[in-house]
Amino acid sequence: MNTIDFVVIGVVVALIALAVYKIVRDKKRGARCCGCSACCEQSEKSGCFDKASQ
Amino acid sequence: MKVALAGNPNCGKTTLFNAITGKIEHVGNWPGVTVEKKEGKVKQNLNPNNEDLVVVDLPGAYSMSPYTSEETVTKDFILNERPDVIINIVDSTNLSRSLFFTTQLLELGIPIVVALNKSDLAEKSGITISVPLLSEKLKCPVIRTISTKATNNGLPELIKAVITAGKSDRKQEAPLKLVTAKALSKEDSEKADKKRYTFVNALVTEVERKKMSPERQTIQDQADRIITHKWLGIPIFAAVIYLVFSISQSWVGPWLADIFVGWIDLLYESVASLLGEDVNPVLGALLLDGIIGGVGAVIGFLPLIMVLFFCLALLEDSGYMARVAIVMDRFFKKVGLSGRSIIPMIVGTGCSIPGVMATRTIKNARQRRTTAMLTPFMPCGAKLPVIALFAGVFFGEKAWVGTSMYFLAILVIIIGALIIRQITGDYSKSYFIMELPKYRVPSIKRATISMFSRAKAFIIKAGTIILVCNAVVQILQTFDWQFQVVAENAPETSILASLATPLAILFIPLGFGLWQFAAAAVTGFIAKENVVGTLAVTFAVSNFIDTEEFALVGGSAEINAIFGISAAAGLAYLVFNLFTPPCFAAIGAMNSEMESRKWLFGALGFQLAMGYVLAFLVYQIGTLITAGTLGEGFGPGLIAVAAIIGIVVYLMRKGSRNKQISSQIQTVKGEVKL
Amino acid sequence: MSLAKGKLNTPYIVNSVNTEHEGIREFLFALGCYPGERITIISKLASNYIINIKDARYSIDEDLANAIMV
Repeated sequence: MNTIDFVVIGVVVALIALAVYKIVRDKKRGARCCGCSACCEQSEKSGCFDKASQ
Repeated sequence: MKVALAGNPNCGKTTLFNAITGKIEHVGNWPGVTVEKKEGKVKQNLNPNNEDLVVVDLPGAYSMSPYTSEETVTKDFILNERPDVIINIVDSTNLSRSLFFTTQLLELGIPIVVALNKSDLAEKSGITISVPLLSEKLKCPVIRTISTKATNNGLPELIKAVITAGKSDRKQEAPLKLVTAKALSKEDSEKADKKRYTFVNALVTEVERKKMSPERQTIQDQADRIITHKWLGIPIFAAVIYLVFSISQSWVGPWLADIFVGWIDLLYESVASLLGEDVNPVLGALLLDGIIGGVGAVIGFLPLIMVLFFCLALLEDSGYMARVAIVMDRFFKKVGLSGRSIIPMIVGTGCSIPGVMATRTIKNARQRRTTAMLTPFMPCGAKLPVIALFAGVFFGEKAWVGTSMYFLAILVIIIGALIIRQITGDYSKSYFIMELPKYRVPSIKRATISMFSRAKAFIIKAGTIILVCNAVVQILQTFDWQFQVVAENAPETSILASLATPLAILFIPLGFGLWQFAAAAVTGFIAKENVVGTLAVTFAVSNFIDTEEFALVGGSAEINAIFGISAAAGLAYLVFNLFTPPCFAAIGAMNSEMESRKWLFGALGFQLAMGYVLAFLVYQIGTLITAGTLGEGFGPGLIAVAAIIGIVVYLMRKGSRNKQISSQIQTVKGEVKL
Repeated sequence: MSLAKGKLNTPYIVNSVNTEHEGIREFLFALGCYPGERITIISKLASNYIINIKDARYSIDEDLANAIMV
C-alpha cells in the first residue's frame, strides 16, 4: 500500500463521514421534507388550506 | 416582541413574510395542519433600532368561527402564545371578504396593524380605498403595502407601525362589540357573523370606490372558458406539459448539462491523474468510479432538473394550476375523488413527501388515503434523472417520453382511485369549491429563487445519501463473499451481484432480468436518483451525458450497448421505477397519513403490483410490436400478473358487497399554490 | 330556484343553502355567500361553475350549485 492509497482512504472516509453527519443532522431537524427546501415553501402554500379548509 | 401574520389564503402573506424576515426557522408543525410553523427575525434594514422582533407566519384562514375550522389554529395560537402585535394582511382586491376576518381579529384585544396588500393590483383594477377613513373605522393603523416590490413597498412604515403598536399599552378596541366566546351556539355564531358582514359591507361602501363591477366577464374569464373547457382543457394541459418538458429536456436543459458534465469529466480526469499509477486499483475505482462517477452521473442531470423546476414555478405562479384542478375535477369525480385531490399530486411533481402531507386537509378518510397512496405515482423531482436517462438512452431524449410518463401517471391514478373505491365500498362524494386567483405574469425572480433552492437541496442530497449509496454499491460489487477482489470476467460473483440476482430472476418477464437493474431498483428505495447512480457504478459508466454531442444522443448508442436491453425493456424499466413504491422517506409520509397498518401495506402492495404489471405489459407488448415475438419469461410473468389481477378482482367483488352510500360533503378552500 | 339553473352574468340574491352537511354553509358564509348577498355565474363549464362572490372568483361543482338557492 502506497502513500497515495492512504490518501484515497482518507478522502473517501472523510467524504462518507461528512455525508453521514449531514444525514443524521437533517434527521434530527425533523427529516425535512425530502431534502429539498423548495417543498417547505410548497407545503406552506398548499397547506395554506389547513384543516379549516374542509 | 412577537408578531403574528394573519390573513386570508392567497393574500400575499408568504411573500410579505419573506420580504420582511431575514433568516427563517422552521420550528415545527402547526397541530393537525401540514403547514410548517415558520418564524423569522425582521430584516435589519427594516428594523433600524434593532428591536427584538420575531414574526410568526400563521396559516391562511377565512374565518375563526369554530364551525368552519376543526381547530382554530389562529385563535389557539393567540390564546396560548400571546403575540404582542398581529399584522393582518388584507387583500385590497377583495376588501369585504378580507375584512370579515379582520373584524374577528380585532376582538381579540391584541393590537392589530392592517397591511393593505396588493395595492398595486387594486389601483390597476380601478379600486381606490381611503386609508384614513378605514383606519378610523377599524380603530387600528392601516398601511398600504405591495409585498411583491423591492422598494417603495410600504414595509418600513408597516414595521414602524408594528413597533409603535407593540410598545403602547393600549388594548385593541373592537369596532364591533361581538364576543367570540367559545360557548356560542350555532345560531348565535351565525347571528354574530351576519352582524359582522353587515358592518363590513357598510364600511366597504364608505371607504372603497370601484370603477368596474367584478361581476362582469373579463378577458381573463374568457380565457378561462377555453382553458378549462370541457374538451379543450386536456389537450391544452398536455401541450403545456409537453412544452415544459421540451424546454428542459430538449432545448435549454441539455445545453447547460453539456457544460456541467464537462466539469465533472475534468474532475474525473484530474483526480485520476493525481492518483497516478500506483494507487491500489480497488481504492482508485472506489473514489473514481464509485464516488465521482456515481455522484457525477446523477449531478449531470442537475441542469435539466433546474430548468424544469424553473418552468413549473413560473407556471404555478401564473395561476394556471388552479385551472388544472378544475379540468381534472370532472374526471376525478367519476372515480370518487374531487379536484381537491389534484393539489397533492401537483405538489408531488416536486417531491412526493409534501404532496402526501398535503392530503391531510382532505376530510374524507377514504379520499385522503386514496390520494395519499396515489400521489407518489406522479413523477417527482428525484425520478427526473431516471426519466431523462432512459428517454435519452433509448429514445433520443424526445420530450414525449417524459410527457407521457405524466399522463400515464394520471391514467394510473384514475384507475387506481376507481379500484380503491370499489374495494372499500365507500362511495361518499364531496363538494368541490376552489378560489380562482387572477392570472398574473409570473415572477422570474421567485422562480429563480425556487430553482436555486431546489438545486441546492439536490446537490446536498447527491453529496450525502447518494454518495454513500454509490460507495457502498461500488464496494459490494468489487468484492466477493471471501472478500477477494472479483475477477474481471466474473462480475456475477460479487456480493452485490449474488444478492441482486435472485431478485433479477423475478424481473425476467419484465425485460430487465439483470442483477445490475435489480440492484439499481432496490437502491431506488433510498432515493430514486440512486437508480441512475447505481446503474452508472454497476455498468462502469462515468457519465450519461456525452460532452461531444449536445446531449445523450451521442453516448446513447454506447450506453444502449452496455445496458444490453431493448428499447421496450428500457421503457419497461423506467415504468417500473416510476410506479413502484416511492423512496423510504415518502413511504414514511404515507404511513403518517394512512394511520392504519392495513392501509399502509395495502398501499405498498398496490404500488408494487402496479409497477410489476405495468412493466410486464410495456415489455411484452412493446416487444411484440417491435420484434413480433413475445419477450422472455412471458409464461411465468403472465401467471404472476394474472394472480395479481385475480387478487384485485377478488377484493373488488368483496367490496361491492359492503357498499355503503353516504354522502359526506367536503369543501375545498383556498387556491392552488405550490 | 337553484343557482345551477341560473343565467350567465346575471346577479342573483342568495336565498339559502340547502344542505345537511356540516361546515359548508358556514364556510360559504365566510366567503360572503349568505342570504341577502349577490352571487353571479360567470361561466358554466363541463360540470363546474365559475361564480363570483364579493370580489373573488370561485369554481364550484354542480352539486354545490344545486344546493345554493337564489
